[in-house]
Amino acid sequence: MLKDDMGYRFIEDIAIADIAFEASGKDINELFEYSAYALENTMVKDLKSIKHESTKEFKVNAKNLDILLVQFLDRLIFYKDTEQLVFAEVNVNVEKSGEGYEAHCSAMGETLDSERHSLLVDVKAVTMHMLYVRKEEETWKAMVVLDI
Amino acid sequence: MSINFTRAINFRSDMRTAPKFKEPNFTKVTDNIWDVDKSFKEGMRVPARIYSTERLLKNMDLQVFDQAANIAMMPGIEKYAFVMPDGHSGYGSPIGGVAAFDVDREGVISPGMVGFDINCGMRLILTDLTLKQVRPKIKELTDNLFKRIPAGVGSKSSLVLNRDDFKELSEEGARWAIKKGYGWKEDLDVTELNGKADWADNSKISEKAIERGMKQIGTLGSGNHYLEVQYIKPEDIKNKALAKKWGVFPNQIVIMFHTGSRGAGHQIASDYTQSFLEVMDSKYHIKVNDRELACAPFNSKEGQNYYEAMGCGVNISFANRQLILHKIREAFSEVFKKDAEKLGMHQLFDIAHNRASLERHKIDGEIKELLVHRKGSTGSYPPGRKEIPKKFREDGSPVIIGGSMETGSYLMVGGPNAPETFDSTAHGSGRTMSRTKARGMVKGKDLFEKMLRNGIYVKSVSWSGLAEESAESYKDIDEVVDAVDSAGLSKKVSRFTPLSNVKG
Repeated sequence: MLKDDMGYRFIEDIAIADIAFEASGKDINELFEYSAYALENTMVKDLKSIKHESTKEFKVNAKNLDILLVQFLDRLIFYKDTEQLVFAEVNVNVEKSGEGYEAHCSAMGETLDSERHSLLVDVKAVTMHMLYVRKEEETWKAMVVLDI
Repeated sequence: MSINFTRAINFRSDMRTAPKFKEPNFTKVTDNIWDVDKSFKEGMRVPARIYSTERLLKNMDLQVFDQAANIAMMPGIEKYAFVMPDGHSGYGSPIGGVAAFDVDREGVISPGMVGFDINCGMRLILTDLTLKQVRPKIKELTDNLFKRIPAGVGSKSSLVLNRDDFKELSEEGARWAIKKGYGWKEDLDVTELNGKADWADNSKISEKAIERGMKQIGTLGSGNHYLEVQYIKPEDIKNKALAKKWGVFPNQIVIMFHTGSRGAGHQIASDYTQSFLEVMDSKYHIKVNDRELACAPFNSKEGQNYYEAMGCGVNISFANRQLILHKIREAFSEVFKKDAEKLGMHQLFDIAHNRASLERHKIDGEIKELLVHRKGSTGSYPPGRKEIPKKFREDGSPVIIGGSMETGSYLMVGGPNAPETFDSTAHGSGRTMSRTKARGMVKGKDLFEKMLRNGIYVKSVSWSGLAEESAESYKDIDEVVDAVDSAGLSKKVSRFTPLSNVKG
């Protein structure tokens, strides 16, 4: 269990062919940031091996916070597929926007290098399977299943 | 935000995160067919039917049946929500799931019942080479294949395509590749749909899908995607007459690979799942138990848009496998210093296991037009069906079933009872252990050495990725194949034993 400790953890036995993680943060922004690290850590073993050479700034919108998280992670996968970028420092600011939410994001990282980065497994997509984003007492929590 | 990365650890699911699923009361129909009645879950329109040995059934995770029940609730479903013996839980639909919808009776289309990797499938290539000729060169050959075919996390196409090229490819499929010189014309004759979904419309796919696809076409991918050099033990040819007719012989070297539509297909699936969620209830008053089963009536604007976009995913996948076949022929040609033609490198077949197909089937004496969703299930057509390329039509469609990399794979043929499942059968071994758990239990390097001792050379981008694909993570392929063979869904032609494996 995550208890008060913030971060992310990979979960066994939830998604047989895929990878599930639970993330936690003191606020919604930190929850999104830890979720991003969980996604990157699914693909690259040691996030400390990723240099801060390239920055992507983007925003995503959705009516609900859980779909906002899906859209946010989906964009990180898009940068991996199109520019081979992986990220080790991510900053997110989630705001109310009209009837939904908008996340302003900045992600720093570099192009994948199989010589320097210990690669794990490629993520195809973010699913909505068993997905949740919710506040439990003072902590924001999320569960995400990634399609492998 | 910078974080302390050491906080990331694996942990077992606890009571809070692991949902509990109800165990159904199974009705035994035959030794390998089990029914779950409509009373299992409220709202089921049809029962669920599981093709499986008793042992495999007992070992299936309970979420499989819950997911099959959710599918059984969807509008227009005919007869049963089927699960194949390699079934395991997925998201929305179980893997190994089959569901057919009457398009004239409110039947739906759902990206979640196709899978993110649209038209993911298997391609099987023959050679005139024998085990004796190839074994001494297997390391050189496998390293050559690995060098030519990009695989693994973030792998990048060696082809430079512009947007217009890629858009053309997404409507032309494998034909685009042949036109550009990547393959032989005869390859199209032995590819499902002759390598082209003619209903595809590239105005229905997003710019993001095009961009992801352009950068990844011709790559193998990761996870359970692989390329194997295999051989045939003389005792493993199960249908000698058909094997001979199809060019399969004892001690022969064959190549089998598994990949799909890469990022483009995934983007199409993600885009349409989200857009279906917007209209499903508000416009069509359809409620589903799982958002991953977002759907729309097949005969609606949204349903048709996805069907045409999915057609592009199908084409991208056929083109991807065609480009990889070209690289395989180049590698063999270089290592054996002979043209691929002279090495007899004919494609036997290419068949998908993640697709929704519009097919005509007889139900209770009436011919109906059905949209058959197969997610982790292979089309298995008995003799005479028009879906079978002409070359195979009188014998039934070839069915390619890939096993785990340590065990073996199968070539089968459409069976006499396939119409029971709308011409569907299993697609592979089916996982039994989660990736996260496998990583904790198996060390990639140890597995590499063990496989080498067993005569299988593996070239992988990732030790961890390798560990996730060990035989322990999968069901017994022989038992899965026995189950569909004895049920008559597809019949064995030959078993293949791995000699080497390239994986992402």
